[in-house]
Amino acid sequence: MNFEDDLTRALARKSAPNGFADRVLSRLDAPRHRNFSMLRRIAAAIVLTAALGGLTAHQIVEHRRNEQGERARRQLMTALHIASAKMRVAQRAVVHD
Amino acid sequence: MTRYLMNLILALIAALTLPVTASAQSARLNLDFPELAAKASETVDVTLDGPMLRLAGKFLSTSDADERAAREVINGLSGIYVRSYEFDHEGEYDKSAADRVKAQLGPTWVNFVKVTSRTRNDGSRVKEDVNIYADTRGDSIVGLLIIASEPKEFTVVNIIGPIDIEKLTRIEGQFGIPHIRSEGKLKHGKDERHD
Repeated sequence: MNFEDDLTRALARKSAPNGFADRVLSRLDAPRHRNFSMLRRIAAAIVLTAALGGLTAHQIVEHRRNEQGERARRQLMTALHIASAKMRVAQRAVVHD
Repeated sequence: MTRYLMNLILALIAALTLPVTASAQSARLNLDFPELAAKASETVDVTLDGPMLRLAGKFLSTSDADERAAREVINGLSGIYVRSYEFDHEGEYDKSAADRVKAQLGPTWVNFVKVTSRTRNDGSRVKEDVNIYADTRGDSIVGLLIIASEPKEFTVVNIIGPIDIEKLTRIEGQFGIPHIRSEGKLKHGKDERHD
């Protein structure tokens, strides 16, 4: 009998103390908000850094390509000037002869 | 059987591509003259392979007549190589450099212009040997070599690809450069090399 009484008492429905649910929720919600906010900030920082890094890298590549192209253009004009000048020397000599 | 067919196909591909590659490369000559570069007071060293030539073409101006003409000339070319050395004193370089270049020419090369010296309008004699060779395949020219030797200057130009000689000769008129010597800006210092 004692066992049955003990079990009944142990399983009896009891109300939670006043404010218990609010206290639990406030403890659960507050850190979660902070974590979520922090993650968003980190993600935004990563995206921004990646975008800026990509833009800078693109500008560097473009700048180098322009430099290389400009140098190649100057070399080409120099080469053609020399080639045409020598051709002209030969042409003049042939005409004179 | 499959392996035999694969080998046969690979051999056929090699047989078809090798002559084309060899043909394209045969017009390019070895223009390394380290001993001349070491002695020269001014050096021009231009090496423009296919990709660099195409890149240069993209940067040519459309508003400048010279550069428009240059664009026409380089169309279809696969390489331009120029070595020019200027020396302080006469006879400072070994004239056999020209022979070393000529020794590389195969039977398809034809010496179509040979100038040993010329006389200026004022009567003075200028010792300038200019030899122009063309690598001919059928009716077309696929390579050009210019060797110009002066007492104080040695210049070699090697152009690879189908060249319109007329167009190249006409260009100078458009560039308006009477002679390379008078265009000092074209020359670069000894230490400045274009690679």
